[in-house]
Amino acid sequence: MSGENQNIDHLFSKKLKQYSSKPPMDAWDKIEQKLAEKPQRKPIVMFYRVAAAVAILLATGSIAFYLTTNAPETSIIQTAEENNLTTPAEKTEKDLFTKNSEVKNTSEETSGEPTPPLPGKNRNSNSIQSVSNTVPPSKDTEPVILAKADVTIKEYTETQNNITSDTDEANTMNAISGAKWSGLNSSTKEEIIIKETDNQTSESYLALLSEFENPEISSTDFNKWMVGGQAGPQYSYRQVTSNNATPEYIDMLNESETGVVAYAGGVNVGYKPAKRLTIQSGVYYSKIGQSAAASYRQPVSIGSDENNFFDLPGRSVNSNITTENTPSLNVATSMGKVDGQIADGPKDEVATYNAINSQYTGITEVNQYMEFLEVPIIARYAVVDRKFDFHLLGGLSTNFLIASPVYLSDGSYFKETSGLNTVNYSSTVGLGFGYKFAGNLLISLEPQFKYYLNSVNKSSSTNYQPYSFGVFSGITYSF
Amino acid sequence: MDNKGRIILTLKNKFQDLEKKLENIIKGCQQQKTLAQKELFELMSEKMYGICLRYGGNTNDANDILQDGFLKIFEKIHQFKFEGSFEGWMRRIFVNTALERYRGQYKVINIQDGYKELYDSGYDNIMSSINADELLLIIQELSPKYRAVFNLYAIEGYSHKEIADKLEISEGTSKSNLSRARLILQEKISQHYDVDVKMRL
Repeated sequence: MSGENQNIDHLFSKKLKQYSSKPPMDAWDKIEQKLAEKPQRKPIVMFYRVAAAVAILLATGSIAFYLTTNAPETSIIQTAEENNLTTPAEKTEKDLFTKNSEVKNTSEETSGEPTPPLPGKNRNSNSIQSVSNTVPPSKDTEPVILAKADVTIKEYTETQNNITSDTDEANTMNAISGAKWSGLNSSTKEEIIIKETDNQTSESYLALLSEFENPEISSTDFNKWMVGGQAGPQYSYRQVTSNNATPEYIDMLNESETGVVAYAGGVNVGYKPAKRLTIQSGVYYSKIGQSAAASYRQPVSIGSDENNFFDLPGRSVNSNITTENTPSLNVATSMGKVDGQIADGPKDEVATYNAINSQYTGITEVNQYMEFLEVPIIARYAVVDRKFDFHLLGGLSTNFLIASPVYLSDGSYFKETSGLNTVNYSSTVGLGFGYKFAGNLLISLEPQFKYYLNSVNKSSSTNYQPYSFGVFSGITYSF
Repeated sequence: MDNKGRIILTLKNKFQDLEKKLENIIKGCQQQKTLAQKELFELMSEKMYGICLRYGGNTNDANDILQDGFLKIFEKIHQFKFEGSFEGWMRRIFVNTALERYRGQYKVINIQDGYKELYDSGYDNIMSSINADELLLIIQELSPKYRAVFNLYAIEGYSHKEIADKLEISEGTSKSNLSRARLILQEKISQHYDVDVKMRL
C-alpha cells in the first residue's frame, strides 16, 4: 500500500470515524410509530412463556397433590389450580411474578413480595411485559427465568425513578455510549475525559488512560521526594556505667539523679527509592539531660550576737552578720562536675547550719542539660501505605553538642557542664502513624526511642550514655 | 492517595455509574419498554446518524437508514449478551442495515486509469483545514459501491475478504472498487483545495 493511499484513508478515517450529526426532529416519532405497528411478541418468547406456564402448572399440581393427600384444607389450592388452567396466556404473566416468592431461585436480590405491575407507556401495544429471554435453554429454565425477571424488572423499576431528562447527564451519557462491560472504548474514554476537563488538563488525563487500562501503579508512579518538620516532647535519662567506680557509687548516682522532660524538633528531607521505603535525613535540635542533686554551702561569719538566726544563708537579718561571698554550688553528677557561685541560696531549700565549719549547707536540685544538633540518617519502611499509614523507622545519628547548661531549681541559669564530647553518636528506632491529606501532605505522630552509642563525657570515672523517648508530631510534603 | 490515583478513581467511578445506567436502558429495551427505547435513541441517534450519512448518498437515504437501523436494533437487542462493546454492536447493525439498502449495486466494471497521487505536503495542509462536514459531502458524492467499499475498508477497518462477504462480491472487485474510490476522492479533494497533484503514468 502506498503512502498516499494510507494518507487518504487516514484523512477520512480520522475525521469521520466518530462523526456525529443531529437527525431530523421527527426521526423518533416515525420509529415509535413503526414500533407500535409491529407485533411485539416473538415466537421464541412464546415458547419460553408456555414452557414456564406448563412447568408452573406441574409444580402447582404436584404441590396440590402432596397437600391434598396430607391436609384436609384443599379448596384454596384447587382454586389456584383452576386459575392457572383458565387463561394460561394472560394469567401467565401475573403468575410469573406472584410465584416469584415460591420458586427457589439463584438471584441475590429477590424480595419476598410479588412484584407490582410494570410501568410502561403503551401497555396495550406492549401488552406483555415479557420475561427477559437472554437466558439460553436449559433444564433449569423455569426458576432461572423467573429469577432474572425479578431482578431485571426490579432494577429497571428503580432506575426509572432516577433517570432524568437532565441535559448534562444526557451529554455525559452520550459520551459514554461506547461502554462495554469489561471496559470502555479508548475513544469513548477520550471523549468523556475531554468533556469533563479543561483542554489544558485533558492531555494529562488522556495520558492516564493507559493507567486506567492497567490498574497496577507502575514502580515509578509516586512522589519520590519529601520535606517535613517534626517536633515533640521527649523524656530523657541515661545509663551510667563505670570501669573503676564501685557499684555503690553507681547506685548512689542513680538514686540522686532522675530523668527530665525536654523537647526536640527539626526539619527533614526524605527520598523514596521504592514505594514503601524512605531514606531520610535532616537537622534536629534536641535537648536531653537529667535532674540531679547538688550541694551548696554558705560560709558565714557571725558577729557578736550568737543568738541571731538566719532564714537562709546569704540573707542577713541582723546587720551584725556578715557573709563571705555568695553560696557556692557544687554539682558532681554522673554527667560531669560543675562548680561555681550562685547568686543566692535556693529559696525553697532549708539549709542546715554547721557550727563547726561555720557554714550553711544544703541540697538542691539542678537540671543538667545537653543541647544537640543532630544529623540523622533514618530508614522508614511503610507497613501500611494507604490514607493512613504505619511505618517502622530506624537509623543512626551524629549529634553535635552545642550547649550544656545547668539550671537551678528556680529555673535560673547556672553554668555549663564541662568535659563533654562535642561529637556523639546515637541510634534511633520508632514507629510512625501517618494520615495523608490534600494529596501531598501527611501529618504524623511518631514515638521514637533514641540511645546514645558512646559516652558523652570524657571522664574516665563514669560513662554517661543518655537515652530518650519522645513522641513527635510532624508534617511532611511530598513532591 | 496522590492526585493521579484520585483522578483514575474518579473516572473509574464515573464510567461505572454510566455503564450501569446504560445497562439498565438496554435491559429495558430488551423488555420492549418504550421509555427505554426512546432513551436509547436519544443516546445513540447522533452517532448512528453519522454512520447513516456516510453510507447513504443523501439526507433522505440517511434518514431511512436511521429508521431501519433502530428498528433492527430494537428487534435484535435481546441478542446482546452484555459482552463486548455495545456501541460496536450497534454500529455493526447500522452498517449492515445501510449496506442492505444498496444491495445489488456493488458489482463494478473495472476501469484501468492513470491515477493521480495526493502530493505529500498537500496532505498536511488538508488535514488541518478540512472539516468533517466537508469530507462527508465529498464521500456522499461517490456512487454506492465506491462509498460502501471505502467506508468499510478505510473507516470501519474491514478486510477485503470481509467486505467481499458482506457485499457478495469478489475480493478483486472489492480491491478495484477501493482503488477507484480513492482516486475519485483524491481528485475531489484536490479540486476542492487547489492542491498540487503529481501525474503518474
